[in-house]
Amino acid sequence: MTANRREFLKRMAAAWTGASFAALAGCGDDQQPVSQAILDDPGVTWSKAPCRFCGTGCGVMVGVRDGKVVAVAGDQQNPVNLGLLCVKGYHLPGILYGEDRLAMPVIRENGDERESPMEEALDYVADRFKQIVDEHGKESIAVYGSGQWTIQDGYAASKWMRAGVGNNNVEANARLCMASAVTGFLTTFGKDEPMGCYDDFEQGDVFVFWGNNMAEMHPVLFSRILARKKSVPAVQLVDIGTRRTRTTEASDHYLEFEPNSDLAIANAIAREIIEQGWVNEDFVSKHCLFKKASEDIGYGLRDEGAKQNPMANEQIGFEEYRRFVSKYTPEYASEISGVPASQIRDLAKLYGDPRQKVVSLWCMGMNQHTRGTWINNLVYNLHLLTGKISQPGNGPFSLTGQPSACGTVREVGTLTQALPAGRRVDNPEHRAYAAKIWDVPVESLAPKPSMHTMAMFRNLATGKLKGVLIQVTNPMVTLPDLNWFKEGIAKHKPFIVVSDVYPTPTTEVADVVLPAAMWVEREGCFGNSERRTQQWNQLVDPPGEALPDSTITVEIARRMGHGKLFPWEGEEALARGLYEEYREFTIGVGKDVALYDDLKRARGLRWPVVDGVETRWRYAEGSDPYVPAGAEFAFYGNHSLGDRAVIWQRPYQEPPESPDDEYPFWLATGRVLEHWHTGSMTRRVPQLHQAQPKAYVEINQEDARTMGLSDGASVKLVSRRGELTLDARVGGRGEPPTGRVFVPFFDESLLANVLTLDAHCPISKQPDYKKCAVRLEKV
Amino acid sequence: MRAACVVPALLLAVSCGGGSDLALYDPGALTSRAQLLDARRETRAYDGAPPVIPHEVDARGRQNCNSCHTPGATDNPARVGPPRSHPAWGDCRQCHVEQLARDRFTGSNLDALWWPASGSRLYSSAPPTIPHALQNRQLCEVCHIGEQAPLALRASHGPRDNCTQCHVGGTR
Repeated sequence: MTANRREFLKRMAAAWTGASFAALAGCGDDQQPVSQAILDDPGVTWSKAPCRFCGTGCGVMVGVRDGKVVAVAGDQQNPVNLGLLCVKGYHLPGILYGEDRLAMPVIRENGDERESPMEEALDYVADRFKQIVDEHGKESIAVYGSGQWTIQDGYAASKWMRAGVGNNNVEANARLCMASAVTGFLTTFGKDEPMGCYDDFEQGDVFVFWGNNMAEMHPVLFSRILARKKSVPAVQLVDIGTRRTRTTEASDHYLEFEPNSDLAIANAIAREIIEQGWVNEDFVSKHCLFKKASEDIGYGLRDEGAKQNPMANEQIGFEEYRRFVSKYTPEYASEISGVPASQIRDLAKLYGDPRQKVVSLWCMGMNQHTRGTWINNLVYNLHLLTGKISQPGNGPFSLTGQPSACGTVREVGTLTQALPAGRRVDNPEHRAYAAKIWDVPVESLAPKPSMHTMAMFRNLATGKLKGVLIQVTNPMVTLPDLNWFKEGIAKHKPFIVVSDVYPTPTTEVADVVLPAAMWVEREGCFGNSERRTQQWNQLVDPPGEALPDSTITVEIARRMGHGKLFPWEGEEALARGLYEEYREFTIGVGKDVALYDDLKRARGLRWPVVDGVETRWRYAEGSDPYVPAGAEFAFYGNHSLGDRAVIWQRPYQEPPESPDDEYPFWLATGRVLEHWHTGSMTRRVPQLHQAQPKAYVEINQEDARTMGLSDGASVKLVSRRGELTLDARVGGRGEPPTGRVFVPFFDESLLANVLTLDAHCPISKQPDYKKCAVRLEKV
Repeated sequence: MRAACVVPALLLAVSCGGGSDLALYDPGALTSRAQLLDARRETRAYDGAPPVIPHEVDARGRQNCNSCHTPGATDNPARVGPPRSHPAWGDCRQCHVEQLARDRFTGSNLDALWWPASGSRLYSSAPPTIPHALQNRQLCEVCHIGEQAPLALRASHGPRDNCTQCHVGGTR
């Protein structure tokens, strides 16, 4: 080895060991968003925007040259990601420029298809919607959007339907994605969304992933946790999963459980906390109370008989709760879950040890669950019993999948029961408040929720609902038990308008396709998982006649005679006007979002923002301005319960469909790192498509050997609802245990959802995409 | 000691997810900066994007990027890969992905940003400016100093402690 090489290795080694996540912020070039070399390129301008993809909400610097996005860089000034992105984020420029980008409207009528100017297409859509309402009444049309709607898009759609058409037929794909998180928060805390924030990731001692492959689905946040582990090796990562993933590989402990048995595990941990004397009695006596609710609530199946009202509940005492969980011994939970009792005890000890700060994390594993609301409640129980909540490094953290599932769907309220900022349509005071801001008679607002997403599509498929505007989502790939819906829609031919950016299976079934402006082709705001609202400006022109979704909605509304609701002219005025009017709803109810001009300057601000100051830990005195002095903690969403959070008695129950002799395998579906949801954007980026070109089925090595299948072999999956032939993936990045398989849903030509069951949580109405029974046939 | 990089065109001739006869190129054969930069572009969406992994990855050896991409991890010339220039990030495959196919889902009209091939000099012996962004490129050594650096990018002088004392950003 030469002296030079030794010297080199020494320098490199020093650089390697000294580095950490936080230390990298701004490194290379003092706090410049991107380093000077490219800032100096006179042809390229750089501006901030949040990433288009997931609920993490990373900041990106967007490089624009000659009116086109030519590059992005991680935004080193954004505290979410400190300059790091994931592979999807780095490939953002590619999603704008796929060759088949939709640029002109298409109208399909009487078997013909014609391209049309936007003005004419909007006239046509408004006429048809008006006709339908005249003929079938105001409940006959609906709007269906997503957690990728900007705040402005969602607010426009909600206001149009509720204050204009006069119904509550507003839903979003977030119903499929985080409705159980919402009902979990509401039932436990009385207010939606996390109390903690990403700052917890640099302060926790134990990170518990509940059915959550964070390494692939929230990679930048996972890197923050890995950096925490690197700087403090005593930090422990615990993965509770139904299959091995990249998250498992990085974790210190892995608890592999039988699908649905997380309910039993959580109850067993609660039991251990109580029986071992680890309850934080001071916290529980001051800030919690106990409740039980009806338990024979069914699974929301189409042919299911009447069940109990899942919301009917009563308060109980600690003793009754203690007796209830006492049967969930670690041994009993082990019998149900397959997790060794010793592992359950060890995990309970981590939750119970007052010296260990614990962060629980979850996303679709707990939310896409026929007992989704319950399992959310049960994990909150653990943090409430131990008082490990609303403090730096201590707390439950419900991760969100989409960039504005929180900001738009949950905060603006684009679900049938919701009015902006946590209000409800069935509350007369809330309706009166909305009617005042919207300047419409209160009687014009429909007083009851109408259809959740599953009901909306069941009604489209059975002819009860006559028309729908679908924006920025792809239900003809994402609905469970897809064939049933497709057949119904083909038979009853409802009037379907889709605004989107590329052709998808959903634009295929549309009568009118409207081209949409995406991401930095328009101005907008997203709200991420940690309550951070982020704003960006329009940086480039959209292609052809494409318009922002909010503009499309407003233009249809104006043509239907609801123009008074939208007095703003021009894109900038509309983006600001919609936001500022929405902001009025948020002030004083604990969701106070920031001023628009402040958002324009900041890298996002976390609500409640009071006097310009953001809130990091809600419900905690000193951090949350809504908590009165001396209260220490106040769960003020439950003001009528004395500002107390609810510890829920919820049993373990079996899922509606489990493997049997005929269908012996569990099927779970899910996402992959490289693709965003149904792949309509990411598959158009060569580097991402080539990394994950098609769907596959992950099979355990032993099962593969038994069946004589090798990696890459064809295998047919058959469920009670459909069948699908896929390549086997054996020994891939994820590996299910024997008797279980996994299929990603991004591939529109290999639709995982022809297999899945449309059972859902009776409280949240969110389907369970993680559990159904299939058999495997060698092809 | 050789820098083990891959000619992507050769790599991509390998069948999808299949063979392992990946062609490593000899940096001696690509002494021209232009050739080297062309090869580099094949692995990126634009300059500043993370390169795709230009070789097959054994899924079983998942956490083993470091066994070839850590300085000094191995002296086996066939296994020495370029060390990462951003040591703080540990989850390599969050950004760098393997390529399992060659086809495209659709064509792309992305007009990507590519940095200039070289920096500028005020006069012939002046230190050149840095023609690229420094974000995620904190270790100049990886590409420019020492035996592992590709010949075409290697500095004409040995390691000095503060590269940016003489080489500054700026492309004009």
